Amino acid sequence: MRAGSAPPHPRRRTDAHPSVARLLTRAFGVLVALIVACGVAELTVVLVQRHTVTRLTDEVQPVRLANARLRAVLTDAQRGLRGYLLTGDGQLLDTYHVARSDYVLATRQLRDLADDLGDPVDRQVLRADAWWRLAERQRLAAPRSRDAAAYAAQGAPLFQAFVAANHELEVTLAARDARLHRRGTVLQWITVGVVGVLTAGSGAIALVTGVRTRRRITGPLGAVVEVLDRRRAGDREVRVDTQAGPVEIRAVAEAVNAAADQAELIRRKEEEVTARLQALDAVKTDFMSTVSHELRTPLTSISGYLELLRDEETGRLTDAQLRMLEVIGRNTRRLRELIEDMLTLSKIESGEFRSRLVPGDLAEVIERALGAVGPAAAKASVGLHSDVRGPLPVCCDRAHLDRMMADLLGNAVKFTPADGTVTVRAERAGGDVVLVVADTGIGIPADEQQALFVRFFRATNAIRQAVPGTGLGLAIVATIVRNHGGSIEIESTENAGTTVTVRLPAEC
Amino acid sequence: MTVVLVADDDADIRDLVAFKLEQAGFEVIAVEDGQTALEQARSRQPTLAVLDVSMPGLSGIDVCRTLRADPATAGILIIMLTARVQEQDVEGGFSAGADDYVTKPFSPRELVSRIQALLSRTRA
Repeated sequence: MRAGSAPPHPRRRTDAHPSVARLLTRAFGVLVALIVACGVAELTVVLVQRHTVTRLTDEVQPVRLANARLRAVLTDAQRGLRGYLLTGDGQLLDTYHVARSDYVLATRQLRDLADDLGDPVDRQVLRADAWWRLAERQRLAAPRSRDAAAYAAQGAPLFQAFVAANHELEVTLAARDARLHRRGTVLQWITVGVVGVLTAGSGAIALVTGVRTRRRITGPLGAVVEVLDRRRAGDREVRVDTQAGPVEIRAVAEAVNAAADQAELIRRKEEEVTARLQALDAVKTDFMSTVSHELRTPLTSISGYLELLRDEETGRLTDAQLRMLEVIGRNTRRLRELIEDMLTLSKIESGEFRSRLVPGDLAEVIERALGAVGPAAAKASVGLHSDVRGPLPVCCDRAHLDRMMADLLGNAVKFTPADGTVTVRAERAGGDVVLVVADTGIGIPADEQQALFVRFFRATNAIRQAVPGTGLGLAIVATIVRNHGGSIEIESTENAGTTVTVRLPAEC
Repeated sequence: MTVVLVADDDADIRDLVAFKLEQAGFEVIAVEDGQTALEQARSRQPTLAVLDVSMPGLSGIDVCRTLRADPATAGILIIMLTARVQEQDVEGGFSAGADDYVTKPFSPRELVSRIQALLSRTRA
C-alpha cells in the first residue's frame, strides 16, 4: 500500500439531479441577487444625479452669481460716478460709495468661490482695480465740469476692459454649467438604459428560473402522481422511474414503488389463499359425497343380510340368536342415522341445505311423529299426551318438519325417565303457529343451555347418565327452524324437565 | 320365469340382491360392471334391470342411457340403486330414463316389492 495516498473524493452525485432544497435555494438566490442588483442600480442612479445637481448648485451656480454680483457692483459704481459727474446729484455719488464698499466683499466672495479659476478672476480684479483708481481721482473732480467729461471718457475703456474680463469668466462658467448639464443628461440616459435593461433582464431571468425550477420539481412529482393514478385505475405493473429527479422526490418514488410491490405481494398471496380455499371447499364437498357413498355401501350389506337372517330365509333361529340380531339391527340403524346427520350437517355448512317451502299442516306432522315415537315411548314407560288445536296451516318443507318433530319428540322421550310424561301442544297465535314440546326429564344445566345448538354438544348430565345421542340433532333442528323463518326457545330446570317452544310463520 | 339383470361392482350387494330375487322366484343374471351389463342385456333380453349408479368405467346412468337409445333394449324396465342422495343424482337417473330408484342402504324386501309393483304396472 502506498503511503500518503488518500481515497478519491466521491463525485458529488447531486450535480446531475439537484435536490429540491438546492433547486429552490438556487432559484431564490437568483431572485434575491436580481432584486439587490436592481436596488444597487437605482441607488447608483440616484447618487449620480445627486452628485451632478450638487456640483451644479454648489460649485458652478454660486460662482456665476458672484461674478454677476461683481459686475453689478462695478456697474452701479460706474453709473453712479458718471451720473454724479454729469449731473452733480449727490445721491448718485452715494451710490458710488456704496458700490465701493460692496466691491471689497464681492471680490472676496468671488475669490473664495472661484479659487480654482485663478487667471480670469485676477484679470478681472486687476482691471477693476485700475478703474477704481481712476474712479477715485474722478470722484474728486467737480461735477459738470470739462474735467468730469474727460474723466468719464477715460473711464469707459477701463470699464469696458473689466466687463470683457468679467464676461470671459461668465462665458467660461456658462460653458462649465452647460457641460455639467450635458453630462447629467447623458448619465441620466445611460442610467435609464441600464436600469431598463437590468429590469427586463431580471424579469426574464426570474421567469426562466421560475419555470425551470418548477419544471424540475413538478415534472418528477407529476410522474409519481401519474403512476399512482394508473395504479388506482388498475395497472398493476407500472412503477416510478427512480433514476431521475431531485433526491427528495426520488425517495418518494422509491417509497411508492416499494408500496406497490408490497401490495402486489399481498394480492398474489390473497389469490393463492383464495384458490387454496376454493380447492379445499371442492375437496370437502367431494369428500362428504364420497364418504357418504363409501359408508353406505357396507351398511347396505350389513342391514340387507341382517334382514335375510331375521326373516329366517336361510333357516330357523333361536330366540337368543334373534335377540342378538336385533341388537345388530339397532346399532346398524344408529350408524345409519349418524351418517345421515353428518351428511345433513355438511350440507348445512356448505349452504346447500335448503328448505322448499309450500303450504302444509303442522297438525298432520305432529300426528305422524307421535305415531312414530309411540312404540319407543311405550317401551320406556313414558306417557305421551297431545293437545293440538288443528288444523294448523304453516309454510313448510314437509320432510324437514317431519325430521324436526321426530328429533324434538325423540329427545323428549329419550331424556325422560320411566313414568315421566311428554306433552305436545300446538295452536295458532297471531300470524304464527306455536308448538310446545314439554317433558319431565333430566333437564339441562343452566350454564349449558346456551351451547345446546352447537353441533356435537352434549350436556354433561346426558353424558353422565349415558343417554345415547350424537349431539347433532339440535343443530339440524335449529337450521330447519331458521330456514322456515321461525324461532326456537328452550327452558329447562335440572331434574324437573325441559320445554321447547317453536314458532313458525303461518303464511308463505 | 321373469329374467332380471343385476349390475353392482360390490360383490356382497350383488349376492344379496341375487339371493333375494331368486328366493322371490326370478331368474337372475348378476354382472359386476357396466360393459358386461350392456352385453348381457342385448344377448339375454331381461325384463328388468337393477343398476348400481356408481360403477367404475361405465356408470349405471351411462348403461341406462345406452339401453334406452337402442331400440332392441329400450323396453327393459330399469331401477337404479344409488348411495348418493343429492337431488341432481336422482334427477340424473330419471332424466337418463330410469323407471325408479332405490337408495342405499335398502331393505331387500322393499326392493322386491318395488320390482313387483313395476312389473304389475307395465303388465296391466
